[in-house]
Amino acid sequence: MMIETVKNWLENRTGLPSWMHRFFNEPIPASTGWRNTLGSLAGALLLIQLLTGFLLALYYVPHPEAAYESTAYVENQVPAGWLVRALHYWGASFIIVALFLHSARVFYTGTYRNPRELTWVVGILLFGTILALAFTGQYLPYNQMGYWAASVGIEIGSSAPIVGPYIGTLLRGGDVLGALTLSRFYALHIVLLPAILIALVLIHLYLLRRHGPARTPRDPSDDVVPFFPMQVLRDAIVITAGLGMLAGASVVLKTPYIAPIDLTDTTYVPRPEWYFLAHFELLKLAPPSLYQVATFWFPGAVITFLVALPWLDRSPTSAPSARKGIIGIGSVSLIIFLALTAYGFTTGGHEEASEADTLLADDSVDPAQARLAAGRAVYDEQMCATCHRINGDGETRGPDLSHVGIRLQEDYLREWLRDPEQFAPDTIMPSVMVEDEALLDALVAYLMSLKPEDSGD
Amino acid sequence: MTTPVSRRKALAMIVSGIGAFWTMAAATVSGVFLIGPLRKAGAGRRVELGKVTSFDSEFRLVHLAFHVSDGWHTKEEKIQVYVRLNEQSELDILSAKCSHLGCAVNWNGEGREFVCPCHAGRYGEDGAVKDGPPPAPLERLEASIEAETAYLNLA
Repeated sequence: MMIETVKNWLENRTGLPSWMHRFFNEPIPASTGWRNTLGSLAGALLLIQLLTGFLLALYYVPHPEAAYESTAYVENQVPAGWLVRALHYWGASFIIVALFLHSARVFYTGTYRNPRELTWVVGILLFGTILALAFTGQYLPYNQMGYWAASVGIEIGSSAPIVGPYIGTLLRGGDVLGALTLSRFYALHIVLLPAILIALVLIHLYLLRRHGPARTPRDPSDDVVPFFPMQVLRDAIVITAGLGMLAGASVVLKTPYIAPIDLTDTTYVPRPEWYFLAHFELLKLAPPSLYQVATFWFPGAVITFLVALPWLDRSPTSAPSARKGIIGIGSVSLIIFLALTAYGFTTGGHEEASEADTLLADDSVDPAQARLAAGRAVYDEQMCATCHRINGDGETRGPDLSHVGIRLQEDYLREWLRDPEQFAPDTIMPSVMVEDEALLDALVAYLMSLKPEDSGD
Repeated sequence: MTTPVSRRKALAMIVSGIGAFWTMAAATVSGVFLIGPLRKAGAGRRVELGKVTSFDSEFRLVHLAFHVSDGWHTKEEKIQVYVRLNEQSELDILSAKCSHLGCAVNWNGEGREFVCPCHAGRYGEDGAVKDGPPPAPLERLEASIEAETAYLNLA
């Protein structure tokens, strides 16, 4: 038989078929179940990040003049570019959720204990690497959120005693956040951190295979089953659910629009990503005298506690009843963490409240006037003046808009703004991306109001 | 009642099916993303050449500059063409780019020929090769005329 021949040939050269056989038939405790699928889910999500990350790197340019432009190009011009970008964006959050659940499972079942201490420590390092990837990746589109996140994040790193200021300068590539920082974050994000991540994943998997999934205290038997088929099927089902939700979130929510870096815009309220909200709230609560405690010592203590956990937990079995102290500390910490995160979501401004939104919602002025003012704010936020000119203000790369109100039909203008490419495939005009339709209407209303003074309208 | 072997086979097919589904999904999205550069090939471009009346029976070198969008980047591209009004009052437009290695050719009005300064390629006034290494005639370009203004149609 042909397949047998190929298999034998490969077996003699590489040993791969028998390795695969051992891999899938690895005996695992019969009590292994759904709770053991979360690591596989995180692994599958990581593969999606590697794939979408590679695709984005085909277009992305780490240059201050090009980072935002090239990202917008992927979003608006490349087929399925918006989807690839959204998958990468939401994938980061999904991985962090999967890792939280995975770590919580390991914590509550106490499986970090002897002989799996290093599996746990490598897991902590993996989590840290993922957060570093999220942090460096967020800066790359060169928008307001990424800029302020990097600015605050580096400031926090600089608060470390003695070496802190040097770390800050090294991360920035100098004294200011800018072009050199962008190259550094790019190199870290696409070269060094993924390499570290892959190495840690391989070590984590090796250690997992070496010790096998842990038996729960409730399962004192020696019963084993092969990894394939039931556990592989459970993994496949959980991965399908996770990837399905990721695809759904990406298609429905897309990548949130965030304005390009504008340091003069004081209306922008910098907010971290949700997984840093707890620390963000903690920083707000800490009085100035405790600044360094909140930025450095406390997070450092939490990380040290997590790393040292397998050695701190000296209970005779992994049964929760035997680990009341540890589980108590962990649970209280988790509740505080979740409460701070939830509080962070409620403290307003997490959704970027743009000047345009505020103007549009202002009911102290005539609605028509409010719309024009909001439209002008959208015009400013979208930086239309980098190409267009109105009554002498702005650049001349694109058409002068001083009298656009008598040149174009309103409906055509709206469709043009939504997707210029459908009318002019080669245009350099980007699609106008606004959070909601009312802002596009406001922009159209503002542009339609631009007419020569004597046109009488 | 199924035998354990066939149950194992069935589960293997389900797991493989799930794997194949996600692989296909990832490959489809990646594929659509990757074929992007093939999508917009061959879009034509029009560049204003000038008033028809500004040309006469002698070749004149025209420098053209226009913006080309190169992905997220917009760059300025420059081309040079020789233009004259022939006996039929039509525009003869020849690219000034030598077909050999791309140097800009010079018009020699007395010798009625184009001469390439790099490797001594020579072309007649119809653009055909007269002498030297060029493998092909000078490229002939078409113009469309609207309201006395000539526009060059570029590929």
